[in-house]
Amino acid sequence: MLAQPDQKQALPNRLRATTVLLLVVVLVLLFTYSRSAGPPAQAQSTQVSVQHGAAVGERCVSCHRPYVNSFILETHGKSAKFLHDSRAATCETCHGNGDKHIENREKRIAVADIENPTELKTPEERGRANAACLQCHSGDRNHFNWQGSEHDRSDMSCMSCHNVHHAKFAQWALASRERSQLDGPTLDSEEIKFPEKMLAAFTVEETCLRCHTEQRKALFQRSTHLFRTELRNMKVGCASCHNPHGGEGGKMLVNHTVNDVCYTCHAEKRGPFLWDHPPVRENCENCHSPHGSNNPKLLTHRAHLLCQECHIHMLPRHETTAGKPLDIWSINRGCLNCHSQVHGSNHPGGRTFGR
Amino acid sequence: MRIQPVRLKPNLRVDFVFIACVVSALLFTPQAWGQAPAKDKTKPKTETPPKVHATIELGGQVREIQGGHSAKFQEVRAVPKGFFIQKLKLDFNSEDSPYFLAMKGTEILERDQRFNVDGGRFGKYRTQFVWDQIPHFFGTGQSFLQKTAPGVYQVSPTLRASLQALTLPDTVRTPPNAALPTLVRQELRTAPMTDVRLRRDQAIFRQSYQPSDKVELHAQFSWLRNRGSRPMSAGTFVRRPVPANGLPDIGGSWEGIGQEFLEPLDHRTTDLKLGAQFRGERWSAGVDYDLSLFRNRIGSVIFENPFRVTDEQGCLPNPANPAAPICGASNRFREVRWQTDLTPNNDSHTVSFWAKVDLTPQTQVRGLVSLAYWTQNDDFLPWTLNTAIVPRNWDGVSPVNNPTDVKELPASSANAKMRNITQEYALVNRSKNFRFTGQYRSQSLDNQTPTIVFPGYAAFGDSTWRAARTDFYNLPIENLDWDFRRQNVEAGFQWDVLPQLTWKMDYEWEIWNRKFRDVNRNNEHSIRGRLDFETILSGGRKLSEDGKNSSATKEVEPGPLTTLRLKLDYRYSNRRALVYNTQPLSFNANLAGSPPGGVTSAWEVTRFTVMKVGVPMEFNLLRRYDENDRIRNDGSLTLELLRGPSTNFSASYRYLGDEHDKSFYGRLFNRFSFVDAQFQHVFDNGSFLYANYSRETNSFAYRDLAHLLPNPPAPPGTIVQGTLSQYPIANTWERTSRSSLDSFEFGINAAPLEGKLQKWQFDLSYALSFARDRISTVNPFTVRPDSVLHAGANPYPDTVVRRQDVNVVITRRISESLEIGARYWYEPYTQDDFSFNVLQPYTHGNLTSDTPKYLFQDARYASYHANVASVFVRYTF
Repeated sequence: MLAQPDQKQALPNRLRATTVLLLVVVLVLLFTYSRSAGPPAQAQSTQVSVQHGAAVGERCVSCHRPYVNSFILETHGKSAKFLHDSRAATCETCHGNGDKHIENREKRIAVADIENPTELKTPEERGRANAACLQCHSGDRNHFNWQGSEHDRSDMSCMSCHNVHHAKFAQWALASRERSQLDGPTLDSEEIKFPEKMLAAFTVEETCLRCHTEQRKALFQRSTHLFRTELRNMKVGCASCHNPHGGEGGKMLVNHTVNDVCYTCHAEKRGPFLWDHPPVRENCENCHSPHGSNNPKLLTHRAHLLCQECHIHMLPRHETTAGKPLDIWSINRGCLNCHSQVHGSNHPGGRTFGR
Repeated sequence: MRIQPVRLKPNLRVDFVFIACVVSALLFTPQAWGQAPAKDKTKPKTETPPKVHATIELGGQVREIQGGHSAKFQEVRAVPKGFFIQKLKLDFNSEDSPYFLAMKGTEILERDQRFNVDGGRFGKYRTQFVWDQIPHFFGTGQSFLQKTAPGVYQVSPTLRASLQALTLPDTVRTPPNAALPTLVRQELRTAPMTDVRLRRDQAIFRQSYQPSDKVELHAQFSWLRNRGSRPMSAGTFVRRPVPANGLPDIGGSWEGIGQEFLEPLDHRTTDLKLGAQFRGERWSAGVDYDLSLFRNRIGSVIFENPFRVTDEQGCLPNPANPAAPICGASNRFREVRWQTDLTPNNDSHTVSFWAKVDLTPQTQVRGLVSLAYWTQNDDFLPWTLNTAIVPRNWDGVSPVNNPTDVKELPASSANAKMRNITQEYALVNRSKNFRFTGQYRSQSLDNQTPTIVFPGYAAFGDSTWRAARTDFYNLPIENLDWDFRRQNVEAGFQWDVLPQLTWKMDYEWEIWNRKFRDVNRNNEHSIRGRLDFETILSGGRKLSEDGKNSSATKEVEPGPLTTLRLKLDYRYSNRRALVYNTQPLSFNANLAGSPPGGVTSAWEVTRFTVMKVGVPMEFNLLRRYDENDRIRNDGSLTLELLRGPSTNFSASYRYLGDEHDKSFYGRLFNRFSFVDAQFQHVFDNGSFLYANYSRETNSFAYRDLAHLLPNPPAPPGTIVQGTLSQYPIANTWERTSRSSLDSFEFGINAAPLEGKLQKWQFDLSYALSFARDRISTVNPFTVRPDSVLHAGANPYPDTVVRRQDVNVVITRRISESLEIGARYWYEPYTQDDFSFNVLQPYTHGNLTSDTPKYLFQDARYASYHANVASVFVRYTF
C-alpha cells in the first residue's frame, strides 16, 4: 500500500474557521430577528397596517379590482400597507395622482389622466417610468450602475422586464404561455400569477432571451452553461453572471471582470499559482465561450486548434506540425492530454503545465 | 417503484439540512403564519386568515436510452426511473401580515434537487436559504488503475511485471500485434469499470436587515462542495520520423506515451460576505467585504505505470563517454509512479467601497473601488517519484542529488500573492432628449509572487532531467512576476432626434499595460453608432380632443396597436500593439538543403543567439491573437414587428469580424455571423404558438509552421546549448475552420378557455440544434523533404453534432386543486467527432504512428437515443 499523497492536514483550522463562520451567521440572525420582532416595532407596524392598509387601492378597487387584489398580496402592496416611510409604494407612487382620472372615470378620456408605465413608448417617457421605480430601487449596489448602463442606454424601461400586475394574466392562456419553451410542466397557478421578481415572463432566462436571441442557441448546444434539468429548471441562469440592472465591468457582469465572475464557482482557478498562464489570468474568454459552444468544455475553438493559434514553439524538441486527425494532440482533450494543468500549475516541474 | 438505497443515502443528509433550516425559520418567525405576536394587543380583530398555498407534484417515470456511450443524456442532470417528486411548495402570505414565508423543493431526492426557503418581514429583514445540487456525469471508464486511497491509484504488481517482461528494446518498434499490446488488450477485457462523475453541492444562506429605510445590513454565507472524479491525463510527445532522411521513428518504441487517470476531487469553497449600504435623499453608499476560501482536500494524485515495476531513466548508454549518457529521446514514461499536483488551496479577501451622488436631478456621479488580495502557499511536491533519474548539473552551480527529495527544492512553497484593484467611475447626465455618459474603468493586477529559479525538472515522460542549458537556450527556469493593468475610458451620448428616432454615439479607449508578455502596451480605439427607430403603424394613436392642441390628446384610436421597431448598430475597433517583443532569431536567406526553385528562406537560432529573459520563447514571426494588431467590425440590424399584445415577429442579423495582421503567423481572422427570426402568436382561444430559427457561422484561420528535426546540435562551449531551431518558410501551413450551428424551435400550447376541452391543456415542443465543423489545411509552398512526418497539410473529417428534443405534455384538471398529466420526451443525439470516435482503453499505432499508444479511460460521449415517459399528479390548495 502506498502512502497517501500530500493531504491538506488543516482539519483543526478548518473546524475553527467553520465554527467562527457559523457563529457569525447565528449572531447576525439573532441580532436581526431580535431587533425587528420587539414589541414597539410590532405595535407600531400593526397600527400602521390598520390605518394605512385601508387606504391601499381603496379608490381604485371599484374599477380595477383584479389589479388591486393582487397588488395587496405583493411586495409593493405590502410596503404600502406596512411601511410608513419612503419605501411605501401606493398606486399613486407609480401611476401619479389619480384625482382627475377618478373625476373623469365616466368619460372615455380618463385613460389619458393617469400614468401607465407599461404604455410609455418614447425614451423620455420610459425614463420617467424608470424614475418612479428608482425612487426606491437605486440605493443598493445591485442597482448602483443602472444610469448609463447598457440597458439604460438601450432605452429600456423597468417594464421591459418586470410587470407589477400579473393578475391580468391569470385567466387566459398567458397562464400557459412560454411554458413549453423553458419552464416545462412545472408551473402552478400561483407561479403563473406571481412570477419570480415580478418578471414579465415567468423566469429570468425567458425574460432575457426575448431580446438576447443570439444566446438562445446555447440551450441545446453541445456544451453549454445554460443547461437545464429534465423539468427545464435552469441551474446556471443569466443572473448567475450578469446583473441586468447595471452590473459592473463591460458586460453588465455581477463582478468587475469576467474572471472574477468565473471564480465565484470555479475558485480553484483563482490561484495564484507558481506557474500561471497569463492569457488565462487576463480573461477566461480568451479560450472559453461562456454561453455555449460547438466544442467540448465551452472552448471557443477545438482544443488543439485553439492552442496552435498561440504556440508554434521554439522549444526545439517539441514538433508543431499541421498534424493528422489521429495525432495525440488532435484526439480527446488535444494538447491537454499532456498539458493537463493549463489553467496553472503549482508543481516544481509544472513549467509547461504538464503536472 | 422503489428508490435505490444508494441514491437515497446522501439525500437523507440533504433532507436533514433542509428540514433543520425550515424548522429554524419557523421557530424564528412564528409571525410567518400570518399571526401577530401574542404581545401585540393592537391587532385588529377583522384580520383575514393567512393564505396558505401548497403544491405537490409527484409521479412515476420510465426511461430507455440506446447507445454505447450515452452519458451525455445525463451529463448535467438526473433523469431517474421510477417514482419522483418533482415539486413540493409551501407559501404563506396574508394581506394582513407583514410577514412572509415561502418554501420550495424541486426534483426532490434526485441528484439535481434544489430547495429554497425565503422568509422575513417586509421592509425589515429577509432570510433566504438555498440548497442546490448539480451533477456532472462523464461516462463509464475502464482502467487497470484501482483507487486504494484518496488520490492513489495502483495496478496489480503481477500485471506490471508481466508487461515489463514483454517490453522490447528501445530501438525496436513495438508492432500492434506484438505480445505486449496483445496482453494489454486481453487484460483490459476484465478490467473493472467505473462511473466517472462529479456532484456540485451548494448551500447559500443570506440575511438582510433594514433598521430604517436609509440603512441595510446584509450577510451571506455560502458553501460549495465539488466532489467525485473526472478524467485527467499525463503524457509526453512522440517525435516524428523524417521519412526522406530515413531516420527512425523514435516515437514509436514506447509502450505508452501517456495515461488517462481519474482526478479525485474534494473541493470546498467557503464564502462569507458582509455588507452595509446607506442612502439619503440624493446619495447612496456602501461597503462590502468578501472572504473566499478554496480548499482541496486531496492535494495530489499518484498513479502507477502499468508497464513498470522498476524505475528507469530515459537515457541510453554513450559508449564514447559513459559519464554522459544520451538522454531525452528514449525510454520515456518508464517511471513506476507518477505524481501530479492538484489545485492548491487559496484564500481571497476583497473589500469594496461604492458611492453615488445625484448632483442635480439630471446628473449623477458614482464610483466603486474594490481591493482584492489572493494568496496561495501550498507545500511543493518533489520533482519526481522516479528514483532512477540522475540530474546532471550542467551549470555547475545548482547540484541536485536526489530529485525525489523535496528538501532539494530551492523553496518549500510558492508563497504566491496577487493584489487585484478594480475601479469604476461614471458621470451620467439626462436631459429631456439628450443623455450623456462618461465612464472610466480599470483593473490593476499586481503579482507579488517571489521569483524562484529552479535548476531543472524531470521531464520527457518523467524519465529525464531537463535543464535550462539544454532545453531553454540558457534562459533560467523561473516563474516571472508578470502582471497587467487594463483601463477603459468611455464616453457616449444619446439624442432623441425625433420622438421616434434616437441616435447614439459612443467612443471607447482600452489600454493594456503588461509585464513579461509579448506586448507591453496595447491601445484599442472604438467608435460605435446606433440608430433606434420606433413607430406605430396602426391603432393605439391618441386622437386629438380639439384638433388644435396636441398636448390635449385624450382618446385612443381603436384597434390593435401595430408597432415597428428598427435598430441599427455598428462598432469599429482598432487595436495596436506598441511593440511586439520577440526573441532575436537570425534570418537565413538560403537555408542549406533547400530544394531548387522552392522557398529557401528561414529563421533560425544560431549558436551565438542570446535569448531575452521575460520574452516568450516562440518563433519570432508569431503574433498572439489576444495582443496583436486587430481591426474589429461589429454590426447588427434588428427588426421587430408587434401587433397588439398577441403577435410578435422579430428578425436580426449580426456580423462580428476580427481581422488580424495577416503578414505574420498566428490567427489571421475570426469571423462570426448570426441571423435569426422569431414568431409568436396567441390565438383568441388562448392557444399559443411560437417558432424560432437561427443560424450562426464562425470561420477562423491561422498560419503556422513546422520546424525542422533534427536540428543541428550546438557544439560544446557556444552560447546556446541543445538543438538549434530552424524555421523554414517553406514549411508554412494555413488552417481554416468553418463551423455552423442551425437552431430551430417550434411549440404550441393549447389551453381552451371554454368548451369540452376547457379542462385540458396540451403542450408540444420541438427543438433542433445542428452543428457542423469543417477544417481545411493548405501548404502555400512546397514542404521541404527533410521535414518530419505530418509537417504538410492533411485532411480532417467533418465534425457533426445534432441534438433534437421532442416534448409532449398533456394535463387535465380534475378539480380546482387537482390536475393529472402525462409527458413524453424523446431526445436523439448524434455526435460524429474524430477526436473521440477513435478512443478506446488502449490505442496502439501502426508503423506510421498515426495512432498514439495511449491508455484512456474511455469515459466519453457518443450518439444516443433517449425515450422518457412519465405521469404526474399535481395537487394544489
